[in-house]
Amino acid sequence: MGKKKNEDSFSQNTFPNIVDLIGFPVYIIDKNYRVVYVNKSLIKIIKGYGLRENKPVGKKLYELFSFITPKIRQEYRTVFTSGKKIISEDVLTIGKRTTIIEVEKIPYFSGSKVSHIITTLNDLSNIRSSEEELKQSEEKYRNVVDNIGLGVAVISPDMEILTLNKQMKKWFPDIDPAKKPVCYKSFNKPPSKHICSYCPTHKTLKDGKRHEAVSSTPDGDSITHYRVVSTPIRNNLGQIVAAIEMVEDVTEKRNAENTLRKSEERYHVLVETANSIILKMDRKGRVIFWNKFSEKFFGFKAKEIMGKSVLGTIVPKKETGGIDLAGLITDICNNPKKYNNHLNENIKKNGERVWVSWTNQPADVVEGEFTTILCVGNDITNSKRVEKRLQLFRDLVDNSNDACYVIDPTTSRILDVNNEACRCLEYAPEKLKELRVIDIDAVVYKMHMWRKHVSDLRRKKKMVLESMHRKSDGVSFPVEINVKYVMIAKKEYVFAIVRDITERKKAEEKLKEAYVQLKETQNILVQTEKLAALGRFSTGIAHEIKNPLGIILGAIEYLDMKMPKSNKDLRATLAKAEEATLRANGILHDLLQFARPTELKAQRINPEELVERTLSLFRCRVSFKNIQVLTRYERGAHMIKVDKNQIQQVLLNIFINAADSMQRGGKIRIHTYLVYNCVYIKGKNAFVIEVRDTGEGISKENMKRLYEPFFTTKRDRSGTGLGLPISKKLVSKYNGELVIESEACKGTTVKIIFPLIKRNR
Amino acid sequence: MIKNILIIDDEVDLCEMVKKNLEAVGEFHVRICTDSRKWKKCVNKQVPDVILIDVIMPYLTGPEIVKELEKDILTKSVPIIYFTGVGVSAEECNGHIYLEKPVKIKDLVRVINNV
Repeated sequence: MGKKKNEDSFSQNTFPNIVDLIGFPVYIIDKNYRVVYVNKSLIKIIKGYGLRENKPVGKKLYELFSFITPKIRQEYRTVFTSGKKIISEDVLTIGKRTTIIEVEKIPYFSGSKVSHIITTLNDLSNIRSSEEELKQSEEKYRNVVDNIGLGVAVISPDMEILTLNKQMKKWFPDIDPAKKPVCYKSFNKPPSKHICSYCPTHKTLKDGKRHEAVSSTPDGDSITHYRVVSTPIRNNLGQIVAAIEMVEDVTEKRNAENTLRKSEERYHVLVETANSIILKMDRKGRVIFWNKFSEKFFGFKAKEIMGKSVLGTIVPKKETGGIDLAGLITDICNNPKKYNNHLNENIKKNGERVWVSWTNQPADVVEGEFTTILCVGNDITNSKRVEKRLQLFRDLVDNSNDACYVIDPTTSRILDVNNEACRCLEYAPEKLKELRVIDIDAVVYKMHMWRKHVSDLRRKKKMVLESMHRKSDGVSFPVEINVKYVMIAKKEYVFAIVRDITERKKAEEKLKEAYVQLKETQNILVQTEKLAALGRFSTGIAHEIKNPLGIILGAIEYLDMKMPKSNKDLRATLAKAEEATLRANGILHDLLQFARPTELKAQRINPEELVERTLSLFRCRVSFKNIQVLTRYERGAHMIKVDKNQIQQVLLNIFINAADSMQRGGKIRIHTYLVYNCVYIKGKNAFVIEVRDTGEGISKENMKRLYEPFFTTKRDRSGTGLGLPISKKLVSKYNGELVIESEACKGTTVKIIFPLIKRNR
Repeated sequence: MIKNILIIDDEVDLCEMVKKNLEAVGEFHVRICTDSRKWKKCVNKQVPDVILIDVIMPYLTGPEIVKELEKDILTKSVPIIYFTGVGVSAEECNGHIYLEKPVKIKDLVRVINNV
């Protein structure tokens, strides 16, 4: 087998090419030191070394190579005899060049004996110098690595730390790479029991690829974050012998990133969950950001509205009030700061109009020029509505008929007033709000009074009282104050509604006057009623009194008849007794007249005749003292329908009054005439009996009381104050009228007016 | 010619006084009836020329008696003068004259002579 292999192996036809490809020189010799094979590399080298022979095969080794020293020959012998490989280094000097060659002598066995020796030559001079260079460069790199600012560690496949650079030593001063500590036990504090799950080095050592990870290395209580990049180190055979860890402390970066991310998240959450419309638009008014609330609020999805102009989508072209919003948007896009806080109407997708309070901010400044506008909006439709309602309420209060005040109870300061309050007190609203109640109230004008007032109010909660308020010009007027104590949000207020009651006071005064008058009238009526009652009573007893009067009068007359005419003294006495009796009878008569409704006994009668008859009676009863009676009658026989006796009594009354007013004498003119369409008796034709005297007349005050029962100016008790009331009553019974015209000192005219009846005789 | 006069009145003193005065003044014969129930007896005894009668009296009132007098043929034409303290309604008077008490004797005589 060995022989056959020998023949096959060294057949120049089989392998020369392969061996030729090997970059270093190879030659083979047999036991006789004869060269049996050289490869091309060797030939190249031989040429370079100045070989003597161009065809080395078949030549003896020492003939071929000058460098084969006795030492090398001895080594070959040893290889043949021992069958062991020998590697030696020899210094070759070819020309001027000295080269160190590593000579490897590998025995080739044929059966149990070494038949050939394969020699490989390795020019070490290059390697040596490169090793030197490597050393230097390593030094350089180590410097770099040490000063790189990055941690560098070499980790063995068993996870042992082989080397650490300065930076790593700084971070981990306790680790001594000489002791080959296990990384996961050393880097982690406290030491970890297992290989870290994320460990990129571990992965690199397994698959030979570059791995990268950010470690969270516990360092006591805190965690230090390292960014670790692992790369493999391979030996000549490509086997992974170690891994280099490039370590960067990214804790701060990481923390900063975390903070940034968190804050970004927060802002994201904030923006997306905010109950505000948040949108961004570019300077042409096109939407470039649209938060969730906007979607919900306006009804436009983000994808629907992105890139579209706000005008025509969420901004109507014209506000309900008619304001041009297109112009406004353009202006906002050019000068958002001007509209930092702005209210305008918007429109939802469904067409509903809403009021939004916008905050507009320029954003995304590029080269000193903003490119977008950030708009944050809040729906104030409701508050606008409430505001409207409040405004309405405020307007109503302002236009109230009564003055309204809101007052701070502790200081009596006026907090708010309505228009009416300002109007009443003639102050400007601002001025009035600077004042206190004690400045305007003429009754509660000192602080202690106010305090007492407030303590009353706190107890009673509400009061209605009257007071006086002072205007700005100092004039006071009466007011009615309806005041209420209220607690709103734990704050005390006094709410007062004040009404100017000047007019009412006046009316009250009038009412009071009227009341007094009424009371007087009532008194009179009561008196009248009393006397009427007396009258009724007297009717009952008149009969009884009149009989004795009759007897007395009869007796006087009888005595008078029997009395001798010469006894004047007795006769005068009797005359006085008679007069007194008649007067008593007269009073009784008047009383009866007044009290008792006498039955009418109306008959057609000629008034002139009536006057004449009365005059005759009058002349009997009244003693004339220079009183002249003149009569003038209307021609023709006119008739009136009256009770003769009653009207006679009326006439008599008037004649007596006239006579009484002329104590020093005078004239009574009696004139009868017709008046057509008399105003006093509803335009009927009238017959008038006019009685005019030249007496003292009636004063204005007394004119008012003419028909008042028992009112008399006759001081000598000759009057009962019933004459005119009775006369008036009697005349009106016949649809007539009694008219009295008088002027003090100029006399009185009395017209007795009766409706005229047609003559039918 | 002496006039026969009947006074029907419950007031005795007054009747007496009138009788006294009338008889003192002129040619009158005056009788007095103070009980209204006895008027008929008085009238029947001698029909008077004039009757003076009170209105309000116990038992019978003046107008009641006058109604009776008016029914009787004997007394129908006898003039009646009411003589009263209170007013008499027109209905009650029924066309007769009435005088209010107290009355002066002169007036009374004038009225009696006129009827």
